[in-house]
Amino acid sequence: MNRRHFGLVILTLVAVATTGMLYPVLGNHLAAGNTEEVGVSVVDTAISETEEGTILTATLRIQNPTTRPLVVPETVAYGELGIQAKGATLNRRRVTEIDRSRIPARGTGTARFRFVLKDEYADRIANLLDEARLSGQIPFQLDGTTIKTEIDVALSGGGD
Amino acid sequence: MARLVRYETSLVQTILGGTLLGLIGGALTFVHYQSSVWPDALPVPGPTQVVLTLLLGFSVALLELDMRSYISTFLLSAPVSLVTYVGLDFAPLLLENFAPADLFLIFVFAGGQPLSAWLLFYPMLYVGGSGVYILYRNGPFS
Repeated sequence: MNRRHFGLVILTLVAVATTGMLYPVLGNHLAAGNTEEVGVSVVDTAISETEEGTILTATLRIQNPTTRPLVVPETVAYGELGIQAKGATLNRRRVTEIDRSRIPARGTGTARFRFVLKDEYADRIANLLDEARLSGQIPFQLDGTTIKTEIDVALSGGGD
Repeated sequence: MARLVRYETSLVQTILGGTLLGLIGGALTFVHYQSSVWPDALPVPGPTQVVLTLLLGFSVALLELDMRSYISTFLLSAPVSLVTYVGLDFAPLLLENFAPADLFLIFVFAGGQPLSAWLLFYPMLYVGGSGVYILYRNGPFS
């Protein structure tokens, strides 16, 4: 094999390797372009008392329109996602805990989000639920890439 | 000193070769930009994309083209690679029927980062790969 033939072989291998790398990356890129259409709605809410304080657990139904599975992370930083009512944030300044969930491609799944309520709202939460909204960003994981999706849903059972 | 370049490409070969190199270079830039680690200013390419782009330049140098042919294919591949990279990056918007002129404006006003990422990746590494071969043929190891 002379140098030119060797050069053509390397060129062919580079083209094949590039095509192999391009396919999944382009697929993820196209899928990520659809994440703004992720549907989020509240299935139910539950209030419980623990040593930490009053916990509000919201179960969300998540519709994934993308062609890749979406993973709901285990935590969301304070400030990214919160419960809002009457112009105030009802949950404490801490990380929100989530039951990690995997939403299949073009499928639906649920995820439970746990918020520790501030003491001043703990006793009144039952009255505030009708007006409370879950708003902010959920940092979904799509094949290792973080995609932040805006949500704003009523906790009393409204959809996004 | 041994003569390095010999083969003269025809017009058709130059166009086909430059287009192919541009498509590969644009795809590699897109993969690099989408999957690289971000420092404060510019994305840092992973080793796979770096090696493949260096090999791209190295393999073309192995073809031992004459200088006019080498420069012509490279000059054609540069804009083709940029258009390919921008096209892949804007693929979701293109599928939503955004006008290409609007996408070009978005690309320009997005700042110099994507353009810098392309400039410091494909042209540099491609020429670097060719340079490795030229050094090998004419340098201290020849």
